[in-house]
Amino acid sequence: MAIGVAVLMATYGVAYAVGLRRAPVMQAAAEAARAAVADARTADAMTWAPDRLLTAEAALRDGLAAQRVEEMRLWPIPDTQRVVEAFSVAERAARDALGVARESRSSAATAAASLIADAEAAVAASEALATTIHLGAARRALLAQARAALAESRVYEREGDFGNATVRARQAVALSAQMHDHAVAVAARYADGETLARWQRWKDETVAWSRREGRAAILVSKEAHTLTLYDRGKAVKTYRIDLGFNWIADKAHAGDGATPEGRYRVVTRKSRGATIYYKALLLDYPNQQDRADYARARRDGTLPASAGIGGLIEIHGEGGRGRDWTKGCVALTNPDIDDLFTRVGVGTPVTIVGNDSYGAIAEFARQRRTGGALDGRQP
Amino acid sequence: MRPNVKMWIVVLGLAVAAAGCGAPPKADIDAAKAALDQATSAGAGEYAADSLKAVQDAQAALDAELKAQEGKWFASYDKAKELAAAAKTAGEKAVADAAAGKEKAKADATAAIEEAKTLLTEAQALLDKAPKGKGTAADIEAMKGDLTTAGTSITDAEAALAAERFVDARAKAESAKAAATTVKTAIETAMAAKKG
Repeated sequence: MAIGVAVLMATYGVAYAVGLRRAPVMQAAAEAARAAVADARTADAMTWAPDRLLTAEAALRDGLAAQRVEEMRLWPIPDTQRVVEAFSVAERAARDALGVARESRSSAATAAASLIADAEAAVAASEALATTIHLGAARRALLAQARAALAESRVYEREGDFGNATVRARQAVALSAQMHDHAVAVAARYADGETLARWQRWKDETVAWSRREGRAAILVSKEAHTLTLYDRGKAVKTYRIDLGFNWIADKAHAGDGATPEGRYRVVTRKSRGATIYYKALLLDYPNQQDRADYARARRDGTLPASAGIGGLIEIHGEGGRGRDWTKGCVALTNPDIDDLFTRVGVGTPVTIVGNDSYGAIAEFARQRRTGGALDGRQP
Repeated sequence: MRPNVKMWIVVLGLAVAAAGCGAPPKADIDAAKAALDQATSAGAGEYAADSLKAVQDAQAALDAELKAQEGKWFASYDKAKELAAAAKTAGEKAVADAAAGKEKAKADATAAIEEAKTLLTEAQALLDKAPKGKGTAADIEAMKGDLTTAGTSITDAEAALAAERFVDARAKAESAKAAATTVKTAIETAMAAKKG
């Protein structure tokens, strides 16, 4: 009996020792699985691969349960293989979740970065358009909103919130697209064959008059931002000019900032002291055609009842600012207006055209379907 | 007859006692689960991710222990009680950490909004002093429009702050800051050019 008990105790002792040696193996497997699950959570797998992470977490719980079952066995030699296998399943599932999470996050980050780059380009194009084409308050607000949406998308991107970054970037693109559409509508006139032909005819008639009469005549090309002086039909000097802040449009009413298009004459020479713009040549705007256009617009209801036709369109000094700032006048530098003053007088014809050749704005309008951008710099 | 009845009473009593000893500590388990739920509700996932992980790990250890004890003839729940207590403590820590993280996010968003407001006020003051020379009316109007949009962004940021959407609040505030800074820089440049 005593021998039997001694043998039993010795056997249990040996088994216990074997069990002690196996315990660290299970523990190491548990730690590896735990670390893998922690890595997956750190990579935000709950956002990017939630199903896989939940699977890994469930497998980890199974492994821990299996480990505890083995630890609590009456017979002290645990089934290490079963436990290690359970933890291996959890570790593999966690690595899988980690891989998918990283890939999904990376794809989302790339997509967001790409959209933000698109938005940056779209907003930059709108900024360029804004410097070239006058924006009304509503469209100016669109541009400001586009900038705001772009700024927000960058914050979300930094925070790793690619969903919101994408949404804001898309908003910026959409707002810029509205700006683009407006620019296309404004630019369309510069690609219209009939309008281009009319401008060309005005130019030809002005040059022909100068040749025939042997006198000076002025041609203003709005897109080119040039004032060319003709004498006896020949271009003798070209000056750089600033125009109305809404120069791209044809003047329709007072306060619209547009520089009028048409055939005018100098009606008054204003020397120093007679104008706040150094020196000025007053034109006979509105002419007969302008008055007819204005009356038609009022009848059609395209002009508000309160809008006047405007006036006081001049060629004056204080220019050379490199931007279009007047309310519709043509501004030269003071030395240039000094020079021009010596060459022209009352009665000199002044023809103002949008362009005297097929220009960048016309090309932009032509390319509108392909999303062409307009160079915002002045020519 | 009588001894048999006594014997059955003793056996039944022992069985009840054994069953009582082996019952899972439901109150402790529920408390641990509630702590995890509270940590999640408190926004630990967003504001105290590491603390939430600790709670999840503690909960996983508790679940494993309970599973291991299931179906055992002589289940012991002493370790489960320990683990449940640890999970509860971890949960409470996560709730506290989430509250602190949330406060920080709120403070960051509030600071960004205040900065945006300051910049907007400065930009508006500069705009009032902007050179009103010939031909600046259109530029000033455009800048006023930009500042109006920045003001709207600040209003949106405050609404997001009130709704505890702190990242949204910061995004709106940052965009307002950018707009106000652009206007400020433009005016300062124009003023410097005029002086020069």
